[in-house]
Amino acid sequence: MKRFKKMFFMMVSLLSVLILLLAGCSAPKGASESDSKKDSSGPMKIGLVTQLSGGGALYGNLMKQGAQLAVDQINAKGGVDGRKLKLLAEDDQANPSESVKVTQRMVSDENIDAWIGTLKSSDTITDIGITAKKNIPSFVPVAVADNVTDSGLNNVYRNVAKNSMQITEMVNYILKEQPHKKMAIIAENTDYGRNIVKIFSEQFEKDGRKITNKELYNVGQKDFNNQLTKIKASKPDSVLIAGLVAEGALIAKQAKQLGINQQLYSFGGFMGKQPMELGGSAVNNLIHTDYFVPTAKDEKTQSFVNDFNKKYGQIPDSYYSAATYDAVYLYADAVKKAGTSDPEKVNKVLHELKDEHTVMGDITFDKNGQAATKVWISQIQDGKQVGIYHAE
Amino acid sequence: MTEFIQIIVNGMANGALYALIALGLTLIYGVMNLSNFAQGEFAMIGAFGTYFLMQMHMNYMLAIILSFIIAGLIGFVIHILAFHPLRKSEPLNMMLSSLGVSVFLVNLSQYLFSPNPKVVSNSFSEKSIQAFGVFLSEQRILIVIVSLILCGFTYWLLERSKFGRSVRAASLDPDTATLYGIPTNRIAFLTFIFGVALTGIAGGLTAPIYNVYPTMGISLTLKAFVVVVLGGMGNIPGAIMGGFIVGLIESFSAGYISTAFQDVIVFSALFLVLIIKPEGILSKVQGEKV
Repeated sequence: MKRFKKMFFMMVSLLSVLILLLAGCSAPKGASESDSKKDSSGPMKIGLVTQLSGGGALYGNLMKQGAQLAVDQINAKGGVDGRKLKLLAEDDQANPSESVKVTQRMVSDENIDAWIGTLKSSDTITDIGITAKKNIPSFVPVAVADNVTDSGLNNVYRNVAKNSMQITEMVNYILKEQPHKKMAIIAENTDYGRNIVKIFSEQFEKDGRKITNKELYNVGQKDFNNQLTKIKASKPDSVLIAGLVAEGALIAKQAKQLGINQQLYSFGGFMGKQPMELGGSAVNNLIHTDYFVPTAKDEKTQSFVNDFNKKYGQIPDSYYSAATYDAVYLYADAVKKAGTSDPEKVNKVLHELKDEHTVMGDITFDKNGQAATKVWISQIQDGKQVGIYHAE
Repeated sequence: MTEFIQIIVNGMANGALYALIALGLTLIYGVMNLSNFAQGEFAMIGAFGTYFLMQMHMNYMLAIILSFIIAGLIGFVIHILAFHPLRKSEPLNMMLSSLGVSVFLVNLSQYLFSPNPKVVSNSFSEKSIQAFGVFLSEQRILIVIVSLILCGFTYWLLERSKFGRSVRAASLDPDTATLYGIPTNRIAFLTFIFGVALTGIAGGLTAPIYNVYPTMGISLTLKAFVVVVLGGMGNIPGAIMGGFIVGLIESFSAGYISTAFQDVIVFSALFLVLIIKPEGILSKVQGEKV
């Protein structure tokens, strides 16, 4: 008995130490104030900070390939005002402290002219805090959390729709094209999931339409039978999965095994090939939002897809490459228009852009630097992603 | 009514799995006095074993049986490296060592196999059986059956066999047991290997429903600890009962209170047990540990 109590207290104290250790990984202090003269005749340096090793490396490398393609194309045409572009891509391991370190080094040692990054919204927010000190034009092509462009910084540009936009597009699509009156939501218990529950419910619950369930699960959870049993009992017309693909694919599988055969919906997490690999036949017919459809009948999209395929031997099937490719072009064109790489003037040009036609759609940055790009509605049909709808 | 029965079925199916993992944990605690924080990682090893064997076109059932052996073998190596040298020191040292083993195994498998989830599909994994609107996937039925068999076998092994008598003697009083000629070190070795091999099978069994990835074991370790504390540390029938109780608490709290709070309620039950009956709810039934 005594021994047991002793063991228990040891276990508890050990666990608390572990938690403290995990929580203690904080970011280092902000930018140092070292200033060095910019070289205005050498190449313009574009810093790309993203995950190039570990789990998200697949997506980070897609970003790098997109950026490299744009840089090579621009250089092949003689660069911008006679100056070449140079891409500096560095790995941040999707780790906030590493991301800040890499960005800081690029800003103070490499004197980058423009910054592009990252895979994760939380890392992006801390990084743009550093680039903002020198007003370096900073592009956010991939991270979609709303608050990235809420910080009021004058040098940040996001050329992909933010999260709340994809939720609105999904509601609009369902109201317009689908007959559902009762929907159930199963959401991950994070800001991302809870935000979807809130915004989706507010916009969907009108004219007698109802959300029957708002069930939450934890990221990393593997068993969803309890949530799905509740959903099944309230007999919704369709089910919305507000989470990413690792859990989402399991949810789709376990739903089928519980006899839930209703239409499934989800968001950007279901882009690309992963859902089919993880969910197999269970994700067939699932409808989700997407930022990029390689088969879209748009000249810019088709020439990007062709050039990408020629260089890397594969079709870019999600937005990571396309949006990063666009970011390089947006910067290069702005420098051309400004006639200088001086950050003040480039930022001014970028804020004044109007309906700039890119792969991701027509770009106009609002005062926070957010662009309203296309959101597609795609469906998984027999193991392929098919774009089925997008608002005009 | 259908929902009520489905909730019970869900709880029992998950409970069978928890019981199987907790069984290994409680066995190891009983004999070695070790709170093995790396227990869940052996489920991960079993799951990866099953995945790679099936990539080589091996039959699923055979792959599961081999995953028992693979987890056991790796358990053997780890016991020699991480636990055997510490057998005479404070229990805290062994526990810290097990935490190290856990972190090591997770990182090693992330390095070797990447963190991306891998899919194991067998002939059961997509199918369910159905009765009166209640669904249960065939894979979960398999888990329940295998778990019950292994729980029964372990109970028999400890209560009726010569090996079991030695294990019980070693756990009650190692010094006296040694005097009576029981090789306590070897018993500790075998118990550890058997304990982690049981968990390896559990990993192979869950692979088709939960996918396979390096961090999959961490949540299983936590659940197993709840079960073991609930049933009484080192108490075999306690671990089996505890598994089903935790499964049912989970499914009922999710079904009738809130899915967001199911873990909160499970861990609150743990705290209640620790305050009211810290020796475990089954201590009256089976006073003796292992």
